[in-house]
Amino acid sequence: MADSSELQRKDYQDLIRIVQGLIREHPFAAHPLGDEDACLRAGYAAAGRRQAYIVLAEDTSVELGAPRKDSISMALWTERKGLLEQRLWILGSDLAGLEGQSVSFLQIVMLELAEGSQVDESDLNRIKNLTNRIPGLMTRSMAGKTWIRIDKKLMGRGFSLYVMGQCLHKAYTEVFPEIRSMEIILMTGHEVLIGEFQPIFDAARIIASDNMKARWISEGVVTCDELNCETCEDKNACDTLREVILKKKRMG
Amino acid sequence: MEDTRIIAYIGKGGTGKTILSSLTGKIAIEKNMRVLFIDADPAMGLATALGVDGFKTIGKAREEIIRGAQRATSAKDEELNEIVDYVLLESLYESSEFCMFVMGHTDTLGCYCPVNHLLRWTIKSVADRFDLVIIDAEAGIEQISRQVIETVHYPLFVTDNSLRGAKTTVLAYETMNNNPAMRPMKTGVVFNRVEKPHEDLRKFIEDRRLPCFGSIPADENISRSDADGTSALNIRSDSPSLVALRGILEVQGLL
Repeated sequence: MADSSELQRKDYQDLIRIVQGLIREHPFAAHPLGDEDACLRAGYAAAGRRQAYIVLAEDTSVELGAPRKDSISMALWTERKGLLEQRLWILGSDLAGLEGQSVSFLQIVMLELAEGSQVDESDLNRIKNLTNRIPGLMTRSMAGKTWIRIDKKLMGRGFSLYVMGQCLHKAYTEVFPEIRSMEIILMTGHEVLIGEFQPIFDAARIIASDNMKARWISEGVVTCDELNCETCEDKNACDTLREVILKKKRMG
Repeated sequence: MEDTRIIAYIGKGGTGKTILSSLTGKIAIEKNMRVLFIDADPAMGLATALGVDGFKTIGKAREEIIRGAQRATSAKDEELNEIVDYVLLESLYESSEFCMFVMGHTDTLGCYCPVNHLLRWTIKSVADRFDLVIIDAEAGIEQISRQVIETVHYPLFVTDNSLRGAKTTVLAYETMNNNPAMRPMKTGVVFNRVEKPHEDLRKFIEDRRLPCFGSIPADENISRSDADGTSALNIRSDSPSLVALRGILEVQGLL
């Protein structure tokens, strides 16, 4: 059996420091977070019923991180106090200069959580999809990629990367009172620089995977010692059993 | 769209469902309607007829969804939903004139009914954004309702002047009537590549309470388009087949 130290979730503070180092090396523009008026102007509303809102190509003004473009999207958290500065960092052409274009996209949300927070990491990643909060904004996410379409009406209301950042901040702080501070990084174009963030994303996935296994162990969902699902012959059976166990637990 | 209309062309192979689907789309596009084609034929004939390539099929998307679900970092329904939304939109072919889903086929991975359900639900949510959805269905109505979209408002049965075509039509119609999920608003038969339907065949069909909407004549312009490999949407607007189909669709109130 795994010992108790393995049950501790890993913090992303080392990766956050690397991200901050990259920001310092490049001409990111810094903005404060907390501009509620910007969110209201964009038509921001608290998330309602989940719905696969779609912006079709013919209604799209700007497309970010589409499947054939580079796209990285991740949420990193830490409980380390004072590491984050409550900032929005932006690099690349803003949306008004990209009308009619489809470009690569980077979106990183870094969060300082209150000590001992037990926030589910998959929930943290999900909030960055603003689809149900901003009319005219469509987001799709899969495997660390975020694909965004902004329709012409929303662009007509002055939507920008700055507004997107403010809305992300609002969405996160609404859902997670555990958040003490945030930094948000938004970047358009700059494919080479996006490539520099790729190893950070890869490392974050490994940590996320370890954290997931730790959670399974703590919940009693997994009891094997190896925990190497990539090579385990019984993975499919395990997955099925895990489903059954989770359902039984939910049923009490 | 609150009043999306869904038309499906159904019938025996070789009767011209694909070209009628294409021509219906052309008529709707000329009326400034937003058109979504769904090529439900595993041979992907409609995509070829419209000159569409470089698409990802729904079959491929389905496999990705199943693999994604198997690899998912947790068993949350929301995660699977996100994967479905992503790959489905990736599968939507979008041009300035129309959009299209190509169903293709699935090589592996068994039944996975929940995935079919998710796909159908997502296709419907996309379809709601269009004025008209046109389905070119190789197989019968059962395949459509199970794999593509639950309800078709206007199933149109395509046949030729052959008894086999008429029998296939009647069989498909009866199958549809036995499917409680199907609640068509209007249905009928279109004779294709026929100057005038054979009277016995017409009676055979109408005796089953299936109305005959009319006939589409053979059209040299379509033969030429097939031979040249040009998009069926480029067929001249005054082509005899197009004129006849436009008449049928307008008289029946389908467009």
